[in-house]
Amino acid sequence: MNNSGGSGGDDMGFPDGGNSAANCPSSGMIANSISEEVPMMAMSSMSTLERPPISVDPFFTSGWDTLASLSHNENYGSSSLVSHGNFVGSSYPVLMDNQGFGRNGSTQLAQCLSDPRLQYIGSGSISEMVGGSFGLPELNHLANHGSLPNSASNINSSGCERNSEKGAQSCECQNSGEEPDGSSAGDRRRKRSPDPSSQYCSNKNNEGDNSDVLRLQNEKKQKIEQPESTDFSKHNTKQSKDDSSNDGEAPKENYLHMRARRGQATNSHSLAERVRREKISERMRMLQELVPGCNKITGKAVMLDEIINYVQSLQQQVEFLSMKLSTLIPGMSIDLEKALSKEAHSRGGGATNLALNPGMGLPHLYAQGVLKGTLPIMPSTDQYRPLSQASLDGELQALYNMGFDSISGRMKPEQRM
Amino acid sequence: MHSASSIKQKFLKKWIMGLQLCNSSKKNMTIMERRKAIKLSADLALASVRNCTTRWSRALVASASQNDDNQALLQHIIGSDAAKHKKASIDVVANSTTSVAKKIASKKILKRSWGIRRVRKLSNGALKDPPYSIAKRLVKKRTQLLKNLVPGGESMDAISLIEETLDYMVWLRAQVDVMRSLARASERLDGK
Repeated sequence: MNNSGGSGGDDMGFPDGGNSAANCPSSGMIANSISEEVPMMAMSSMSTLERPPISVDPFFTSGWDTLASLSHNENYGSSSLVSHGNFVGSSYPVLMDNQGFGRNGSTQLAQCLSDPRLQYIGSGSISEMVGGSFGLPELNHLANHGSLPNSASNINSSGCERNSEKGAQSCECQNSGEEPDGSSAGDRRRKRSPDPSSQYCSNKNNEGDNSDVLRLQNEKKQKIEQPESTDFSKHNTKQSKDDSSNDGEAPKENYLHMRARRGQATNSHSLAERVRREKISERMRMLQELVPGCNKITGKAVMLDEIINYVQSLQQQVEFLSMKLSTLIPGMSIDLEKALSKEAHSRGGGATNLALNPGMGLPHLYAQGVLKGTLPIMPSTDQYRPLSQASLDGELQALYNMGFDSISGRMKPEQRM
Repeated sequence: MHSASSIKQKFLKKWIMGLQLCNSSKKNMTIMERRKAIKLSADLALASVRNCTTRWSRALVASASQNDDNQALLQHIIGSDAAKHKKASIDVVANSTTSVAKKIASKKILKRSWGIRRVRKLSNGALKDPPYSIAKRLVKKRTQLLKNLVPGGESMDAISLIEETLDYMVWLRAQVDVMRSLARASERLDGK
């Protein structure tokens, strides 16, 4: 039974990709067989799928001593295996009852589904759930191969995403090279990466709750996963390289990689929409750091309002200052040199306060917390302290009045001339 | 930090160069003209320091070059990179003109579709909450405002618009700082 079952399971498991039933019971075996090759799995996902036919046999020959082999797996020195073994082990009593793995498709499926743990495998959300709880990339690969081969590649990519989310510097460095403003891309990614991971965690929690309740719908979910994976099959090969798929900031490549979250439409349009929306919200967040006093604001409309006000006030300040300068500096050449020298002295003290470094590109600026830098600027210009944005209009009015007066030749510039 | 002050100094130098040029050309300028000259030279200096890599700087240069009076000033400030900047500015001007025409055409189409969309929206009223559509409208209005504010922002989609806004804000702030310090210094000088 063992050999035939093994070969049968292999036959059903791999060529027949759509047969989830075959994969459910074989998942444990595959996982066990793969556990030997955990270090190598991080590199190659597809090759491991081909390997099991060879290595599955030892497990099969031992019969269903999988529990024993699971305990054996613990020796492989990865806690992920232990955890994996733990929850797969709970399913084994169920599977052991079934003779002939993958032969009786429907019964297998039913019994797979009846086990809440296996539901996680079948639904393909295992990578998110287990990976989230244990936080090891290898586990994701283990889980990947425990699920449908169609979605295996899909989830493998999510494993790669996890790698990036866990702050793998290599990914960020790789992607920062692609960024035009390269130095800051890493910072930008480090900022972004907690967000997708938090989204994943929340998603995973939802899935955990749902799948406990909905058992029969798991089948449907499996089917949903398949079209999702087929959508991404073409992205798959690149996705392992382009680890920041959620960021989508890959100017070298023309299209963006985006993983559809569970229960969301997998239409290409909606995907692009989502990417676009995330991009926009990302930049809004950066803007939030720039504009003073916008930390608590959530929502595009209010944020945009603040931004508009701020830009307008800055422009007004420029106008105001240029007007003031025009009154102050009629005789430009000599005064300017002196002014330059003076200003260099004053600038030397103030330069350390100024965290504005526009020359280094946008994102680097924000990563350094520009807000911190701007706050000292305002108090340092003590005579312009009243030039807060609120009172700017008043000041501007006053100066314009002054300016208009000076046209008639009564003010200082005329006197100086 | 070092780059900040060095860039500001570069900006300042170019600006003062422009101002001197302005002043030498016209002896007696009214306040308004002077203000305009100051602002213009400041804008151009800003744009040139940014090396015309960003859209708004190119738009500034383009709009300035359209006005023939400023040619001398423009060339003086922009200086050796004139060829690159002129090309960039020409591109922007061309883009703006073509985009304006396109925009007009597309607006007509949009208006036609708005009616249809409104009917469809009413029929699909259950799907989208009214607050959602209101928020969308608000956002659209404000992005339009923002587009008018940021130079060269009319023909940009939301994503690049926000990027440009970011950049522009930073540079505006830098400009304000430089001008303010110059004004303060000259006040101190004159106060003596």
